[in-house]
Amino acid sequence: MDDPRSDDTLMLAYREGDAAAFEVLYGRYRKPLYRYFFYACGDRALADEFFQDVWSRIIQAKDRYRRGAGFKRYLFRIAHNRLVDHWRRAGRTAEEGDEHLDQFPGPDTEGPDSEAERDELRNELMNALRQLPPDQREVFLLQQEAGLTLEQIAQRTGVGRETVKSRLRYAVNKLRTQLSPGSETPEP
Amino acid sequence: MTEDKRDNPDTTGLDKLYRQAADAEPDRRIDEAVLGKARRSASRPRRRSLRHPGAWGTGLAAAASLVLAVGLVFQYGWQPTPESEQMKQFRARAEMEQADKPAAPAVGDSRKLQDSAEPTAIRESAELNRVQVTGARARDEAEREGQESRKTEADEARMAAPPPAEEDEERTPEAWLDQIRQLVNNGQMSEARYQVRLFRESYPSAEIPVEIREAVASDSE
Repeated sequence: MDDPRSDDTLMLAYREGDAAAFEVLYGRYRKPLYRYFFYACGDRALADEFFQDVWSRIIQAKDRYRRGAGFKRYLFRIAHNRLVDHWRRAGRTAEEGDEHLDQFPGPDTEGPDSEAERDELRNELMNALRQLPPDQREVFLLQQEAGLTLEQIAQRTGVGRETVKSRLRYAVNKLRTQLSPGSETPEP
Repeated sequence: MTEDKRDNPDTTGLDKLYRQAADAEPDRRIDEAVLGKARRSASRPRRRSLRHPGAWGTGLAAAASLVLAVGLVFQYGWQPTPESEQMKQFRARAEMEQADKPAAPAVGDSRKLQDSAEPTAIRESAELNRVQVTGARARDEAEREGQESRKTEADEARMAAPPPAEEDEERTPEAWLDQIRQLVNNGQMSEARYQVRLFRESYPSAEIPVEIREAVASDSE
């Protein structure tokens, strides 16, 4: 799975008909992209839908992909736009409430005892993310999952770099407070 | 980029914590659906964008070829060809000769010449070969006639063209006799005899000058 080729090279190879190149690319970004949707909207069904939708767009538009476009930025630009579309259609803006996170799913299955701590940590993360306003939550996820810089996030979300920096600082501080050992997780 | 990292809020510890907790991933069925779609798309031939230089080049070449073809058709397709000019010369010469010959054979020759002079215009494709042969023969005759006419170019320059029969209806007997006299003077005796014959048929009671009668008679002997 450790293919030395760059994302651009893989995408261009796929454009020329190399399906195996796409599989490598998919393996690199399937988890980050899915987590971006999953923790941003807090709904597994929506995350599934958006995740497949973004990859479908990538596949359909492969012939228009150009070298140097930056696949990761390209991928998360589509993802961000998909999320914004969802929020608009749902009739809410990023500044409005985050009550949809109240339905944030827990672990799908009860694991063995060795999974107990992981489950607890997962719940804490979900609760902590739920406390964040959507705009701060998305900035945090774009940094964590897409690895974008402040400048790139600013371009992606259409706000100033200082605004992004401020949102990220607030998000990190709140999450650190919520997730630090000994801190109490607020009840949903 | 370095400056950007310096500006980033400190996430030390939080990153690791997030990695441990955020382990959500897509279902295997979703993976199979996406990869299946990708494979199907990869197996289809790639669609080339119109912005691609190759596509532009092909389109431009096709358009240029079309313009060139249309231009050639307009330039050459609607103008008389050198062959048809030769045909005209040949037909004019044939009509001149017809005037020198007796009426019945002249009609036959004229029809034969007309057949060979207008091959493509009146023949169907089934007769194409025969038309081409007669057309080639006509061209050869026209060329031969052209060479002869060039040889006697100086003489013919002095000649007055023989009047067509249709124009004779407007001539007076005196003017007609003057033209016959001019033919005798120019040495065109066959044409002069033919015109004398026509004159006698048209004006049976008219007197033909003696010099014309003697010249025509002496030349026929």
